[in-house]
Amino acid sequence: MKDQPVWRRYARIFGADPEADADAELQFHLAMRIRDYMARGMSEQEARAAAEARLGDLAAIRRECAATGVKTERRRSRRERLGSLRQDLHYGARALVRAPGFALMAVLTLAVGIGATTAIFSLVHAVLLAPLPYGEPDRLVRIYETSPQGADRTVVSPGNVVDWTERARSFSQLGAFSGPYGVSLTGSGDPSRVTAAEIQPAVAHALGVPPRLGRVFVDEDAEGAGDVTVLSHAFWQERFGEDPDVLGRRIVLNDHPTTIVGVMGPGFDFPRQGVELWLPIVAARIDPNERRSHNFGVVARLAPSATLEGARAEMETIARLLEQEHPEFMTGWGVNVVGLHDDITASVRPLLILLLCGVCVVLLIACGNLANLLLARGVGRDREFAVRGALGAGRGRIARQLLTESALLALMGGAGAVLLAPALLGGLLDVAPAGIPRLDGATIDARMLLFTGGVTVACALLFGLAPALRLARANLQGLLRGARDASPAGHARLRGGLLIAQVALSVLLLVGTGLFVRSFAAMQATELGFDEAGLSYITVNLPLPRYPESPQQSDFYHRLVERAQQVPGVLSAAGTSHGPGTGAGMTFSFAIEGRVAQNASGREDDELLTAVTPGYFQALRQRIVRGRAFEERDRADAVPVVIISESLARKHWPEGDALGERISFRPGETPWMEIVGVAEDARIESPDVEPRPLIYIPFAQKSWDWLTFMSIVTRVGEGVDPASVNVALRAAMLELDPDLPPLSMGTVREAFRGNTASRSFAMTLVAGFAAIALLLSVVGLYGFLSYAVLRQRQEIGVRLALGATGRDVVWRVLGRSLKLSLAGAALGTLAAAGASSIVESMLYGVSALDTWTYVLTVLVVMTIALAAAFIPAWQAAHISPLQALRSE
Amino acid sequence: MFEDDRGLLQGTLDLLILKTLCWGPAHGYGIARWIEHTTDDALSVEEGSLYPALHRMESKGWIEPEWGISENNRKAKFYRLTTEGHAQFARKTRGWERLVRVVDSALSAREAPAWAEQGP
Repeated sequence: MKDQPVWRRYARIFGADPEADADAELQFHLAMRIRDYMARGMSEQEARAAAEARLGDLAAIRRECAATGVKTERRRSRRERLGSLRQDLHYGARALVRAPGFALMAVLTLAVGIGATTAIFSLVHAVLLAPLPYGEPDRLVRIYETSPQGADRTVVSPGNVVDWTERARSFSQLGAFSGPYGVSLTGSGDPSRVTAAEIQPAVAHALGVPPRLGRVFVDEDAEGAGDVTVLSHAFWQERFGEDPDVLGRRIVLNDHPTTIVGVMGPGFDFPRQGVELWLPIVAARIDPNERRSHNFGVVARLAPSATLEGARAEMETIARLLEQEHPEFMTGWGVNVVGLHDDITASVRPLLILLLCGVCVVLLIACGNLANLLLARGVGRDREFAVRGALGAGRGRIARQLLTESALLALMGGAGAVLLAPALLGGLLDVAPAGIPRLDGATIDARMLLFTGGVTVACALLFGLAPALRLARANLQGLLRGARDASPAGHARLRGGLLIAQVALSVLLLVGTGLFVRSFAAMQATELGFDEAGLSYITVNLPLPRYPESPQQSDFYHRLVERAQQVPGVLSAAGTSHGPGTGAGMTFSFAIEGRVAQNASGREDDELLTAVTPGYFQALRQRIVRGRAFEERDRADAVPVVIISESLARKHWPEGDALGERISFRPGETPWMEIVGVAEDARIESPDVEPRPLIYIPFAQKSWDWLTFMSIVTRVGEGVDPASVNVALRAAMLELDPDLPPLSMGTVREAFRGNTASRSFAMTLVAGFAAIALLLSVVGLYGFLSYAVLRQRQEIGVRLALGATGRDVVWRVLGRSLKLSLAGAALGTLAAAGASSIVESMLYGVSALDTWTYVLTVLVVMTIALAAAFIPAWQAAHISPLQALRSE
Repeated sequence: MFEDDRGLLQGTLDLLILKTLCWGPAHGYGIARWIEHTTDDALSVEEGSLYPALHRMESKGWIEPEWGISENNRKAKFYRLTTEGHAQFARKTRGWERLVRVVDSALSAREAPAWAEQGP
């Protein structure tokens, strides 16, 4: 055999070398053959030649043998590995089965930790992070006007839309939209209400999404009567069963025959989810001179060379120009350009970030629990490892086996999470309020699943391995001989520390929950200023062509209110132009007789105005604090009167009495109106919005012809179904004017709930987190204590034998529990106080540092500390000293 | 007998190797020599196919290698039969015997086929 270099010999450490083996084998064969030939008389040279000739192509044979050898080697090592893996799995499974409580808790912790985190993150991702379903969505912006009072998201007046379209160079497309609102659909199946939005053709071009069928709007659509429509994908599916021949068909919308010219693809929404079809804004609606009423949203696409900053600067310049050109309308009005994505998500961002933080906290607690469980379990197995070590298992083998156990747990936990996450997400979507945008696209994000899975599994593996790592330090021999467990004290401290951290995190969540609950309660308890029980509304907008002037409009509404009052079940009815369903109100500036205001125009600041029918205050049960409410006699030809809200009265007449004073919107042009009453402030928009100063005028006395919309508010009696009343109202309306379907209907309570929905959603979720966190903490605390008791049996037994009473022992256990919990509570309280500023914006009526909440939380923590300690303390007290001393 | 051919058929080589190992473990050279010896050198084992055959059978698990010291104190790779190898040997032997019987009965046939002319 030819000499191997020395290092080759040791290469075997890295595994067999088939090539060398084959070579060695063949060399041996040759050597033997040569010896035989030489024994027969050949010379060495002849023998060698003959032997090699007889063998054949040495290199080829060696290659073939080596190749086969490699295959064999691979197969063998695979079988070996599988064999030991099977053994590990088998052993691990048995170990887990023998400790079902531990296994169950670990698996549940994993499943909940990973599943909940993934579900929430998927939600957040869909709402906040996923890009919008438009072409190059980061080039899209929303443009608002800013009012002199500082409202920086005011919708735009038609005149400005026209001017911006003509003058702005930073945008390749700019268009206005309005809605969504309801239109009636008749003539194709049951009559129903569908949600529609109106857009200028430029909007379609700006969004840059090609239709699935047909086309989007073109400029010609806006010129004519506008009787074309583009359907949404969902609507096309539901109503037309995805019929490919739907183009060219006509449907009757708001009693106008409308031709379907296009269908959008799935997943396209504008401006919100739920829009079923789009209609073009006809040019006639965009009056270039109208700058007082603000009713259009504006969306635009940045030109290829423009930036957001550049666009902002340009729009500022344009705003200044407009101010100079139309000072009476545009003074103090500015522009606000916002990225579309930011705009949509702005309102929900704080909520969702809060949720993410809450979820991270839960994940941390879950990991802490897991760590504790595994450490506690590991500590008790020193004996077992000592025995196995004595029987020949290498440390690596034991470590691998522990790893397998943890991996089994992780696998089961992961499977649980995979099942749990979609269910949780589904549940979240069900309870989510309607106001959260883009929720439909939320599906379980596989990456997040992997991430959280990775985190928790890593945690499981790390802490599961800890006992094996300790073997290096422990004295196995001593263990076998019965010495006390060699666990270093550091471990107990680590576990105690983990527990304190868990309690601290739970406290954080509990404080958050408490604050939200109190917020909610405060909102419920807020004086609304009117009685919202049993109030429903139906919103109408009269088409200007048929009702061009105020007298006709007023006449219609008065008759409608009368008919409404006659509907059975209705206690009272009235109309208002600023109520649920009509959106934010219009603002007007006015002058007070005898005063000159500070503003450049000489008039007071703009205030909200609403036009109401007589009987409004009675219907809403809103108090008139001074003076009187409107009556029938306040007609168009009577003395102009006005009622103001309390806050307006306080603002302008802080000392004196506003009654009898007079105001005018434009002195010299509009008449002076006498203040005949002061009404209580009413939170007509939402319970959590401070009521703004408000001017009420009788609808009959309004002078603006364009103020055509109204909410008819009806109060129904006890036990009457508001929905049926609304239906009857609608019928009454159609009797008065068959071409006039309502825009929207509902109850005031629902409208309110919609506004407060995101807050209550947050509250529910945070409460859920807190509950989970508490549960995990209780379990963790219980496990810790009961394990401590178990390991200190001897010590406790000695104490009992030496005269300690059961009560002493119980106190020790309880004391331990309380100490840990209070430490955690202290830490958590500090953390909560530190983080209070984050939550401040979501609260109502309660400060983020509310003492009651903190105190209550600490009490709760102490209670659970005692509850968790109960069983272990009982067990400790009932340790029989004799048994404890004898065993171990 | 098969000298003119490429050598022994692969299956028969395997059979012979297995038979050799029935006597006990042996190294490759020893197997070659024994086969030559018992067949009176009639079957000169083409050594080129012996070792690949051995490795193949090792891969299939019929034989098991073990490095040891040969009779003249050299390091050599010995092979022994596994349980599976024994079973394979029995199977192959039966197959061989069946083959021999069948060929034999064909060769000693007396009846001519229908299409043959008269005469041997």
